[in-house]
Amino acid sequence: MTTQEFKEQLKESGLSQESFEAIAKILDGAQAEKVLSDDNKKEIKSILNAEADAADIEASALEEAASALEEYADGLSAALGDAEKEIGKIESDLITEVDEVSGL
Amino acid sequence: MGIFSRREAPREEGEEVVQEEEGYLDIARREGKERQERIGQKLSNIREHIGNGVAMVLGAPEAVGAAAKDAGGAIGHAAESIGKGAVHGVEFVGEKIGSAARKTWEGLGNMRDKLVEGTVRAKEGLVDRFERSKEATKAKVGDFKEQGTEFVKTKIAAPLEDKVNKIYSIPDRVRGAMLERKVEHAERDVAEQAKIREAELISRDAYVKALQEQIAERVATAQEVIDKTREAEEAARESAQTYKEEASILRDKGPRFTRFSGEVDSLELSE
Repeated sequence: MTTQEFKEQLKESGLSQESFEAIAKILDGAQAEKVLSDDNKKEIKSILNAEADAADIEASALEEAASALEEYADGLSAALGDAEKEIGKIESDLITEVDEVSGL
Repeated sequence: MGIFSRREAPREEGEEVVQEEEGYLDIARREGKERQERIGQKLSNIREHIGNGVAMVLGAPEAVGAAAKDAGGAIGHAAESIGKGAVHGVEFVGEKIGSAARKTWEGLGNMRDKLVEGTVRAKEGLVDRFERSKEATKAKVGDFKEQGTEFVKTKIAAPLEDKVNKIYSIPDRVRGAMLERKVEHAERDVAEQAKIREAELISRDAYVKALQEQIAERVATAQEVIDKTREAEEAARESAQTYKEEASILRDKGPRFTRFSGEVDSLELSE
């Protein structure tokens, strides 16, 4: 793959703008110098690997937060379930007592 | 490969998970709404039955009057006996309805307190879990920073730290619907209690009427607490869904960037 093709693909990859620009700058410099050195490659790889790790960390955080929010929602749902049962009991006791009196 | 292990999730797989979760979200939303409606109906029934009971008590003197009138044509102790029986009946009805109303008023208060307590406990659990997860994630970001270049530190790790802080902040809509342990509930309870006690000293009719009014207040408060809890539940599920969708997109990015990194060594300069 040529550096130009690589740049085009990177642009569409979802890489952050700053990282893309940093890599593009290295590649453009290499193009001007007519040599892509090992240091250049190492630098590009370090940015890409860091972006991959950052995406992974962020994804894990989002998944953990989602799981915590679901646990919270389940807790609320359980509390509402208990409330429904209690209200049902209050309602049925009241109906029984009022009906008992009205039937006298 | 970077310093952290990652789970490779092909896009198709991620999409399937999201679709399944959407189904689950719809079910949870529908069930929650149905429950909210059922509770609303029960609360409305409570108000209606208390109304019927209190009407029986307040209508009872008229019934006594009617009984006495009916007995007007009778003579001697027969009329007296009917009149006494009717009065006794009125007292019995008043006592029974008063007791049922009191039990209902207390029951609604207990239910509201338990619900608020349950939601507050759930909130504390969420806050605690967010805090612990935030600390663990920040430690990961710290390692990441340490091992990175200056560019990685400032342009990748620092923004990531901000994102992590945002992720572990309770979403505004969820926070807005969260209930607090309210002092105002306790204050309101004391005021309600005082009104009932005061009415009790006036007459039985005033007592049952006061209970009816306070039950109506508690029904309204209970409905409010239930609606807010439902809102918080739905907001939390929706936020969770959004987070999962964002995570799924990010899970695709990681392997993609790693693939690009693997191609760097074989790059050729353009012509």
